[in-house]
Amino acid sequence: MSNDADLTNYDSIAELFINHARQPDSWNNLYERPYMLGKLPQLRGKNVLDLGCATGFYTEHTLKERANVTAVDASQKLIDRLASEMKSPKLKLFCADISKPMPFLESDSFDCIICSLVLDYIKDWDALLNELYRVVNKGGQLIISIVHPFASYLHIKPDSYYDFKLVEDDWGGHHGIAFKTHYYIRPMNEVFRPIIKSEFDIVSIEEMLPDEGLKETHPEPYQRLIERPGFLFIMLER
Amino acid sequence: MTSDAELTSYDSIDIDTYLAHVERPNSWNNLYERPYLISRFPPLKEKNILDIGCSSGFYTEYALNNGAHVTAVDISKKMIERLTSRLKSPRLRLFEADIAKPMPFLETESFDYIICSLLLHYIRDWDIPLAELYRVMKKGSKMVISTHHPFAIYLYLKPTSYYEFKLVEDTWAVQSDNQFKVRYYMRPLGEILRPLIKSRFTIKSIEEMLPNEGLKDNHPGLYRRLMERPGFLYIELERQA
Repeated sequence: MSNDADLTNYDSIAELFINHARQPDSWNNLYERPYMLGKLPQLRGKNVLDLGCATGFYTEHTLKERANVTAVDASQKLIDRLASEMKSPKLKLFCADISKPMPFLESDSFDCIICSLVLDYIKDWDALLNELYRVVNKGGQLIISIVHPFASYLHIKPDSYYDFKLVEDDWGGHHGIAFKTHYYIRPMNEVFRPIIKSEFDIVSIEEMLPDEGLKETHPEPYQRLIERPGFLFIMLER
Repeated sequence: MTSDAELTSYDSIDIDTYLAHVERPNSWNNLYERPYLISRFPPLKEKNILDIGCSSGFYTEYALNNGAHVTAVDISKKMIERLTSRLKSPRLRLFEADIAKPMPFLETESFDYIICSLLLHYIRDWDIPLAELYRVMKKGSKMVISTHHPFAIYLYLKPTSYYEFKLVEDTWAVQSDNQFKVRYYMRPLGEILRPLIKSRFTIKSIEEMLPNEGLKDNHPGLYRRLMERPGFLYIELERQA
């Protein structure tokens, strides 16, 4: 494993993270997942790659939609957990560092790649985007969510907005399950550059707004998310 | 004129005050935006250049001095009159027009390069101008755009929400005796990207402008400010060959 993967993979915090992300009022559940699910194409019978599958939320969703799913994560513990939780002839699981070439994935083999809140853990996107371009079908889509660079700046308060570096952050405190994560902050420049340089076509880049339903059920997160940036949604196409 | 144009045209402010502000040697235009844009220009000699929203005429004059044929457009009658008397050249055409509307006086597929410097934040709806600029560009040619960085504007104006898309009034030259008010649109990044991605252009580059290294010695305060927080956004679009 690369140094990156050692620092950012979830092996050391697998249980805590799963507990965190599965909380009904986690940002994953209230904000990111509703937005992403609203953007996913028809998946029935499709070959889907869930890259950085973590808790397996999208893996499970796409299996239910009757897709064939390949799920990859750097954490052996998360992969082991998914292997015991989800039994399906339509599911393939791999433990691998996605910042490196993935020869176990066939070229031109996926109709849709879901890359949810994983690129923040990867420093060099150029190599990864090349590899994903190789494995996606012509006409296939790569659907990405990341932390918005403006949101990271306001949250982490680095010396410079342009800092591109690994940071340590504390999550889960409000659920009484505090743990540390490591991810990269980078300016918008370092989001656009590799995407524009890649062979993909840009279908959309959107600042995720919360679902209107959140206004009633969770007014505080709703207010926060309509006042300041949260996550960024990116759809690319081969 | 549209109501947008009435609100944002520089005709409503004193031209001499405005020009004294942007043309002073230590303006952001001179220290930051112009060096960045010029470093991206292709050779301009004998090319047909459109300077859209030419304002003080800095880029018009620069392109003329580099042997280009220049068409300069601005909404401000006073700016165009001023340029007419200041720059005399058989290689220059000047038009007074509202860029937010179609520009039938510009021929289809006639320009090799379009310069759109610090203009788009005065225009609410970018779809029409982008379609019109696409029409007048030759195939394979490029347009460079500079505009306010949405996050810089958020940190500067401190609106209730980052997502507000609205006309704002700002006071410039606050440290001088000649303060003046300008109006422009603030909008989130999503409202910059949406019309660009929707347009027929190919996006060649979207960059947060960093200052020239030379600024470090000459203007350390401004250099540090621009290295710590966003300033302007640079965008390069291409009409595919």
